[in-house]
Amino acid sequence: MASPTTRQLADAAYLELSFQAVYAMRQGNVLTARPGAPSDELAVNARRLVAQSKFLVSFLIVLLVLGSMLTLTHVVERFFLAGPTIVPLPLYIATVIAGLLLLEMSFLWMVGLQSLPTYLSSQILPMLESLPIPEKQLDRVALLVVLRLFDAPALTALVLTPLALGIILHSVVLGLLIVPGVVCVVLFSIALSLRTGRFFVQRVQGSRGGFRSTVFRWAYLLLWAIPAFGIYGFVAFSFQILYGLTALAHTAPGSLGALLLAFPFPFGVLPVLGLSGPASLAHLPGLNLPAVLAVAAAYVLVAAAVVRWLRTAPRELTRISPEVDAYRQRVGAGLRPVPPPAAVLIKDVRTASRTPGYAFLILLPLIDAVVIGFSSYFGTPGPDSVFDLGAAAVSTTALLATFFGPAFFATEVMGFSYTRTLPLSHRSLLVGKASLIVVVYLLASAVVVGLTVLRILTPLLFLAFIVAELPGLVAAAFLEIGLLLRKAERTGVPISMLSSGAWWTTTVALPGIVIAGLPIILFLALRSTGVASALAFVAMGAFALVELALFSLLALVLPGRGRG
Amino acid sequence: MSRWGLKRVGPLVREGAGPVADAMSLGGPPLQVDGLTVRYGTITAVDRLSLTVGPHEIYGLLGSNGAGKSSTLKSVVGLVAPARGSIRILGHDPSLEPVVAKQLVGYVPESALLYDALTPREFLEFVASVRGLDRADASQRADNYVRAFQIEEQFDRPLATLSNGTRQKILILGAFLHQPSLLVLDEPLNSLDPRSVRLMKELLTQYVAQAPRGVLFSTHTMEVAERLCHRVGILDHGALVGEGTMDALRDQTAQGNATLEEIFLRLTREEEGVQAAVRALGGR
Repeated sequence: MASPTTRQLADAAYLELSFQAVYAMRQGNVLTARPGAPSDELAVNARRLVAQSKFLVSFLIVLLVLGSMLTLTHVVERFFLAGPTIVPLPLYIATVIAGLLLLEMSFLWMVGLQSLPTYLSSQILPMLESLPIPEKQLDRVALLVVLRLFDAPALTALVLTPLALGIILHSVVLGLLIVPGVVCVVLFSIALSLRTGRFFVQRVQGSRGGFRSTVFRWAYLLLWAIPAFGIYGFVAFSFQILYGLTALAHTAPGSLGALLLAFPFPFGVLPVLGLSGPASLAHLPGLNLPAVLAVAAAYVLVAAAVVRWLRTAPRELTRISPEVDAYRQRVGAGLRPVPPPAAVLIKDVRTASRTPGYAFLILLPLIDAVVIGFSSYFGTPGPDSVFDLGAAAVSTTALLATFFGPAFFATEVMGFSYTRTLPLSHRSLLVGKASLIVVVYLLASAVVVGLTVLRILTPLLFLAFIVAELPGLVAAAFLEIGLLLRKAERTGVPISMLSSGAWWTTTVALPGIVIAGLPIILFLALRSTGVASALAFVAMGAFALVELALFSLLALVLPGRGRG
Repeated sequence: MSRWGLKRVGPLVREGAGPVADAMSLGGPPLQVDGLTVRYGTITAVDRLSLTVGPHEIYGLLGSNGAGKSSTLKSVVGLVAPARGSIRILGHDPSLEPVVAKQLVGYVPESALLYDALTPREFLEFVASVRGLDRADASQRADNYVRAFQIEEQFDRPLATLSNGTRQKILILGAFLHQPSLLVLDEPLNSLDPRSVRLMKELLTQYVAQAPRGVLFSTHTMEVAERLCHRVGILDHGALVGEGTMDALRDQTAQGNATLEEIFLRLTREEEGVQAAVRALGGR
């Protein structure tokens, strides 16, 4: 247990972290306060905004748990209880529970990846290091601060998962069987966050400029995409995974057994064993009771080792330095200036290439595109496949790009005050930021086209679909960035980091998503009423153009030229 | 080699370069501040401050911690909105024409806080792009300054990995890159090594001598202000309590051979306070 002094220090450190995450003082932001406002208003705001973000992340975990449980009951009642199915029921239940654990781990890992750069850049621990505080106490303070980054989402997972499972399976004991699995999930995700954070500091932060280094850096940053890929892959290919496991049960039961021992499957098997007894193992060929119990116990032991490691790891992380690449002389200090909007775009991409949180925002829509591209290989293509695939690809990519695009505005908090002294007009900033959203959308679309070119025999039509949505996407980007610019101008604070200002990001992104989604909704609605696909397609493009005209007027023309 | 043993690396300051010629034709000094008041909530940081930085002039702003120096400088560069008063940069009002006014200013903030994820080259490319600089000009100037400040080895390393001194040099480079009509420097010599401090002093003198440019300079170092600045303004609790050349300040305080430090302590009524503090710390 931490002493009152340790808790007090951790409270102060965490408040400072929240403050830094929201107001980014160490990155150069300048505070503005309302006339007559109480002196602690900013600190109170920082606490509130961070709490709101945690609430949102926790709510998403609630949705994950409830969604999985609903799948469990609905599918079991509809298919398994109605008659014989291809997938054995024990395998189905174990896979759904393991899938939920995997999703929770990926989600918590993502939370860690988003928060750790702020933890590292806030310089809280180095500041405390200079004070006469015992080493062990400093370790505990660092640990408490890191744990508080995960507290609400981790607690949600720890409490809700066993509770929901207990309710679904009508047994408190069966619900409790999942507890070791959720504890492992929470501890492993914190450990993974810290390990990837260390990797970021050592290999990414110190990487020098130049094309080759940039390519290598993006390759490193793909690591950050693993949890996202886990979530997407599992959700998008859940049925294929289930059928694959079933096929494996018939063709290679040994391999299935080995696979079901991989984390977190044994913890999905435990409730099944509790539900139907060891007899259920007959439907899980290649598995036996001692092996399941031994492997689950081994994972718990690894989790215990993680607990031990966590005692010192959070503080150690703040003490490592980047491995600076060996210097190679370049000829002259040549600069290549570009037009201001392009400069904003390039700066953001360069920043993302050394900031995992932002790199992730670019990579996520691309991963989504890869998943959608591969998913087109399942099933038989029909005459309207191009429109179905187009609607799926364009809508998800556009929605992701618009949802995460505003978060890129947070890059401005780094050196934000300096940028505000530069003659950068709102128009250039807006066009530059919107360009990034467009570039991500086009790249993701190119990935889908590239992957489906053999499958969809009318790539030109698909390309036209992408182009038809483009004006709607640009309109949404203008709306989102325009709102953020107004907010930043009013308050002097660009609050849009997912880790701290998710509430504000969401309230900005939602109208953007509506604007980006409306052309696609119109297309689908017209098709569902029997309108020819080609006609619906033209209506979609026309509607998107109207949106673009309207929001260009609002964002670019009405605020006036020369505003900076 | 220069008289301070610094290797000549090319012209760092070019006569008539940058937007000076165009801006001067509009009339008005590089900087004119009238009745500037800056408030943070209920605290008044700057109180009805008026000052002018003329062409070919280095103006030093002195004051204790919290006297309002940085708030004044931040108002000039558009980081803090004044509660009252006006600011004109070569006749342009930053609140009405922010982009035009910012084009005329080069700024070095008090803290070397930059885009940590960028390298100096990438950061300066961004600055040069936003300032609309020509590729050849930007590269030539950057090359000259990089060699003068001896930061070739750090030029392609991320800013996050560089020392405070090197980051400060990058900020100075960013301020000089477009050869602005007005340089606003907030404690620019902080963290710099002695060689760079010397280089900076020579650069600033040369900079205002060769064209009708102005420099507004805040510092705690009295010796630097005394030697470098043409005129000095002394701030106390947000108000200007003394202003002028060294001779004018001596006349104002009726101290014939006083140093700037003595004048400063007299005008801010700190002399007694310093003595009292020394006695208290000395236990007498």
